[in-house]
Amino acid sequence: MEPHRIAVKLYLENPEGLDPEELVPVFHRFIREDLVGGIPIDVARYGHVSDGPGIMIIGHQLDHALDLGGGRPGLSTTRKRDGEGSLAARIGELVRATARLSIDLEADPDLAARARVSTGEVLITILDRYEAPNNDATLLKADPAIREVIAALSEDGGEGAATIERVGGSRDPFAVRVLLDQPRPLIQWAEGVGAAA
Amino acid sequence: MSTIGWRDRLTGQMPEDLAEEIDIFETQVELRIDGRVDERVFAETRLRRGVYGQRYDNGQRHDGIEPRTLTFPSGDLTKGPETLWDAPGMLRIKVPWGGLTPIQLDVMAELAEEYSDHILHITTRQDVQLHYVHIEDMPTVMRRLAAVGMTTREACGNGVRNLTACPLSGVCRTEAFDVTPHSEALFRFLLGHPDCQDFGRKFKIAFSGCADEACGLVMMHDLGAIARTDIVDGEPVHSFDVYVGGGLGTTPHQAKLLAERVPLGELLPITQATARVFARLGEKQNRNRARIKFLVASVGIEEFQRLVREEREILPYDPRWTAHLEDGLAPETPARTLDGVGEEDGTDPGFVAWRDTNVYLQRQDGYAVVTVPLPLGDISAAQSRLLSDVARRFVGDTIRTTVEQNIVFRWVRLEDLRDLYTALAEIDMAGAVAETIVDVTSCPGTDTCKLGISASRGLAGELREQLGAKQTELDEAVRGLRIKVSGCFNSCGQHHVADIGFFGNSRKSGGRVVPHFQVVLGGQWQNNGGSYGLAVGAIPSKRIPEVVDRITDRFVAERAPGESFLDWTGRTGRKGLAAIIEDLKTIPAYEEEPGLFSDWGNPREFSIGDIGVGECAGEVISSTDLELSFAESIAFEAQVALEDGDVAKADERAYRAMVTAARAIVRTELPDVAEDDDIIVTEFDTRFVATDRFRDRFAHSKFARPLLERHASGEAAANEEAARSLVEEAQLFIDAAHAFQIREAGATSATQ
Ligand code: HEM
Ligand code: SF4
Repeated sequence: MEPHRIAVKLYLENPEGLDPEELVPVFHRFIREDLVGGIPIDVARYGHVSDGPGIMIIGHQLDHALDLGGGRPGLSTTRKRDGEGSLAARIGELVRATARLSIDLEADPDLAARARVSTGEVLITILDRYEAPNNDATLLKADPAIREVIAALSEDGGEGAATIERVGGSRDPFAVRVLLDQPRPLIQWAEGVGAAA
Repeated sequence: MSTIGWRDRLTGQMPEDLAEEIDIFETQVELRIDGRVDERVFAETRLRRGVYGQRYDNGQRHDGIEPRTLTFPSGDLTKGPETLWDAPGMLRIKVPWGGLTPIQLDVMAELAEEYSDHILHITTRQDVQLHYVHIEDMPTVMRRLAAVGMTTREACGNGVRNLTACPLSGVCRTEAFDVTPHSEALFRFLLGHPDCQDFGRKFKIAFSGCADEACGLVMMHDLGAIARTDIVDGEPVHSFDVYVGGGLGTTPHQAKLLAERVPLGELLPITQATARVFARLGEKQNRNRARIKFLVASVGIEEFQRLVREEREILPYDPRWTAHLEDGLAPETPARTLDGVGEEDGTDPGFVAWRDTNVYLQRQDGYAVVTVPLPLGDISAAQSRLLSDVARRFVGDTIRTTVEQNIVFRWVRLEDLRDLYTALAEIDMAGAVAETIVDVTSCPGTDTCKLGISASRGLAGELREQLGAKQTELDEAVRGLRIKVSGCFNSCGQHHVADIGFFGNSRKSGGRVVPHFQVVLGGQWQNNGGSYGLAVGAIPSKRIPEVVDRITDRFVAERAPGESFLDWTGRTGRKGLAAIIEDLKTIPAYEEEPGLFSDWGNPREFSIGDIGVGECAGEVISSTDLELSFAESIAFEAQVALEDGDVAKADERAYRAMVTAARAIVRTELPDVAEDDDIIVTEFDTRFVATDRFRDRFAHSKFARPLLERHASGEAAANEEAARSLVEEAQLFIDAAHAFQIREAGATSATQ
């Protein structure tokens, strides 16, 4: 499967502690200091839209966001162009990018450690209704790749370390929620998943 | 992969003509990649398909400290002059008369997720825009839209743009009759019509169901039709009053009556004849004089009427002129019939407040129109799906977008209001703000528009938040006011017809540039946008909320019982209004208030480098700044004179303001230039206009022309309208002089 767009999202543990607007200057600085991958272009502000993309760094290949979708704020990365490799490699790359973004934001002096990212759960979305409608057939196709990515997170690479659940209705994009039996530190998300690529 | 997949899957589902159009466009995309289509030709091609450029698409962006180059993978391949191939762009989807169905909402939501930024943006002309779309994805997006009957064709470029109409058409209590079927017929008739392919500029059409309300905004359109019903021999007879030559932009014009009581079957041919006259006689070379309003002004309305009548007589007959009438004008019907339960009362304050502001009783008993307010016209893809579910449940296909950047549901049964409120509140779409001062509208501004000077959306969002927080404490008369914001003089936010309007500009201070908004008060929304507000002063962007507070407080304090805002501004006068905000113009040193040097929602230090050439740096306050502020005072006197009805004085002061500003510019090179108008204008012309130095990159030399023409002819404005134009032009000339000075400062510092 070579889907048009894939997104990965890690949820904030304490969304109430952070006003999305606070990310605006931080994201502008990230662009200035070349802290995000691809060619970042600008910051888009959609904090006023419920269930929306929140505050974004719009890039050519990748978008990064403090994403308010599903009413649960989180950090997300979307690959829009120039994705490469197997589905597992593509998802793995985004998991690493999102984890790195999370590490940077958790440590950001302007946010004073108020951003905390939950590390036991990840949302993987495939934004391509032609290749990946949100149904069980797509789940069957995508499942091995998702398991490969998750396996790379656990030291023993064992199966069953996570619950994979397809979410949303038939008009929504294909999305799976992965709940790890045990949270893993962000650094492991940022590096460990490398094995899957 | 999915590009080919979608084409194959949708074949047969798209109207043939649209499918063919899209195939052609896709081929042109491929040819352009191979370098076999010229960039200018490609630019016009894409614009005619609704594909617009976006800010930073020249590959330059100021990051707050320095300009940076965006190095895209496709290198220097372009999709138009100075427009890089890979740079994301905007797609404008036409929504004729604002009519939408749930399935269309669903498809646009899918497209927003798969190709854009998860947002559907409703524009000030009832369209929907997707931003940050890659050029190579456009054909697929267009196909998926075409499969649900939507088109982007001629949504931009020099053609017939979206056709707008009152969102209440057919259900309005004051309308003459339902304009929807006529709007639809005219829209289909003109789409891609050969007579509309050779305009020098865009052509916007609007319909209104009555003369007094605003919904249709006919008076500010290139062509507008207002429905009327006359009783003839005891029978009601429907017809249209057709207006022509209105428009906003830098030189706003009110439309003039082209033809009265046009029979329904004559509407399409009269419009076609008008289009032909415009295509034949309208200006082609100079974009800034190319709208039909300039043609009407130059030949005079009587002559224009004659030309249209003459053209009409020789038009070859077309059966489409009347086909929609012969089919019978089937009225829209409700998805749910009344079951006689009657309205269910709700007493909780949220519901009561929402019912007060967002519900309009239809002329059909038992039904209402409900406004779903969208902050800044934005709705997310996920919300759109939820909203389309709510629509399916309560109203079916009777959704419309509005020029106030909202969505309305028509044919809501009164007995469903309580449940609908609950359903909307669950998805956070039941804000009680419709048609209140909180519901600020705005153009895209510096967020995505290449021409934006100030952050119109940033300001609109801020005002929305601040006013929303105190909404319940606001005086009743203030709650009902309208605020509209444009990011520059082009007026896409329709600030001219707001009670309180703003448009972006900038001023220099201590070597830095400060984002400003020009305050425009007393525009009229009623009477189809019946009169335009005039500027009372440019204020730093960050102080605009204070401007709103002061103006509204004064209005409340001084208002006579029942007096409208429009009347109050008229009575207070320009001078009086300007005095209320005068002290806010002072710009302190950067160190004292650095916040003033950045714009709303954008922490980067303000720069106009993202629009024009050059960068502002290192200048201290100069005599030029002082002289320009002088010129501004004179322009202000001109406005006051105009208001006092003193046309001769208004004309003289406007001219003097321009000469003064020109002198300030000339003096940057010729400090001892004589106080002689001939010498000043000649020097200005030869040094700055003829050399293209005063040329604005986007507006070209249009700001200089009024001065040169007025000087050359030596003739004073003949009437109030001409004087009003000159007064506006004087203000724009001064703004252009400021911009020129900033550009030159940037150029100087860049070469040092
Ligand atoms: C010389 C350049 C331009 C001029 C003179 C201009 C003028 C206008 C005016 C007068 C309106 C609306 C008023 C009406 O209803 O008739 C309008 C609409 C609009 N403009 Fe512009 N504009 C210009 C360029 C742009 C650009 C570059 C953008 C950003 C991409 C933009 C975005 C919009 C939008 C979003 C609307 C509502 C549009 C619709 O749905 O048709 N405009 N423009
Ligand atoms: S008013 Fe100016 S900033 Fe706003 S959309 Fe129009 S051209 Fe762009």
